[in-house]
Amino acid sequence: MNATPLKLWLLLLACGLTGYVWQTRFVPHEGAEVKQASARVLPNGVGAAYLQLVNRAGEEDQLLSVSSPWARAAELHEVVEEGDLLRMVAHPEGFRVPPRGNLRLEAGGKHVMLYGVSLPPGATELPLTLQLRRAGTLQLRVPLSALAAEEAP
Amino acid sequence: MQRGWRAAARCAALAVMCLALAACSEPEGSPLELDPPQPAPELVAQGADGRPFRLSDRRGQVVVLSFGYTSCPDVCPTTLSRLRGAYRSLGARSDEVAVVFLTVDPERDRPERLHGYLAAFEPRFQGAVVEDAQLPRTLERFGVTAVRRIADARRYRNLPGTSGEPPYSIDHTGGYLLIDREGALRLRYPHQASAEQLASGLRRLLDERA
Repeated sequence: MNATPLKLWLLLLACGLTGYVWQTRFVPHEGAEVKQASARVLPNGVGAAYLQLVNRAGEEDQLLSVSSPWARAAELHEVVEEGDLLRMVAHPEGFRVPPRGNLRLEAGGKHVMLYGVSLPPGATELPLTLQLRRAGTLQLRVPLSALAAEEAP
Repeated sequence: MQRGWRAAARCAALAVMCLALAACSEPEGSPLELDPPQPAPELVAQGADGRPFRLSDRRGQVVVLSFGYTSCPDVCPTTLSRLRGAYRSLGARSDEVAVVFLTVDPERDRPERLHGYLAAFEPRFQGAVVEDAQLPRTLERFGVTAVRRIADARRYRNLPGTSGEPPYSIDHTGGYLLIDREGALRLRYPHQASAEQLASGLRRLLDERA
């Protein structure tokens, strides 16, 4: 009778472990946590990074800037729909993170724009530094999403 | 103790079911049906593979046409990733589909550059370049808009590859136009459409003539 609940728990545990493996490795910082980070960089050096920033503090924080030693430019942008037109709007002032709330950078929305990215051969993670007004500096290593298997010759 | 386990298991099962249901429902991304179907405008361009490109040459295949540019960091890579997902999910039937990407940035996206960019997603994707002089009229025929947006020069002065000129982004119509084997415009998917939704539309048009 107890075999069925046990199997469910084991299944959930397996799912949870799988999810954890895909998580970004981050340096835990008082007041801020990063989840579900990923980056996609194309062979032309253009790319984007996405993540969820959790503000554990009771006061509003602000993501001020992003940088990567492998990217010549990293900026905060947002895709905005105006009718059927898709616009990319720059946010040099950064993005607010509500108290005890989340900031989501995701495809089709707010994101980190990356230009001039040079990836070392075989790189699987992109070093990314977030600058927050309250929580300070967060150093990340963001998993790189693979595109097609090989580059075209 | 046993009661606690069973209650926990029921909660877990419910949570999994809710997640599954949430994943199934996709209110966004549904296509606009073009009724009655209109013949797709002709598109004459330089192919990214160096050969002349004519949309009408693809009669007999189902065509999915989308628009973007290679310096686009988020929307266009997402568009092409979804197209790749849809295309590959068709298996052998993908041979009956032509995925065409028309650049809205012919100044920077010369054929070789466009070819390399698309090949990173799927080698069989076809790029097309219409020169600046003809591009506005071409886009208008397909009901597509593209607007160049110049960046703040003070922020971008030191960006490489721009030879001192501020780089620009291009606001453009997103989404996917599906054209049937007879060359008629049939479905217009918004940019939120998933790979599964696109594949569904493609299969429908593929099935119209076995």
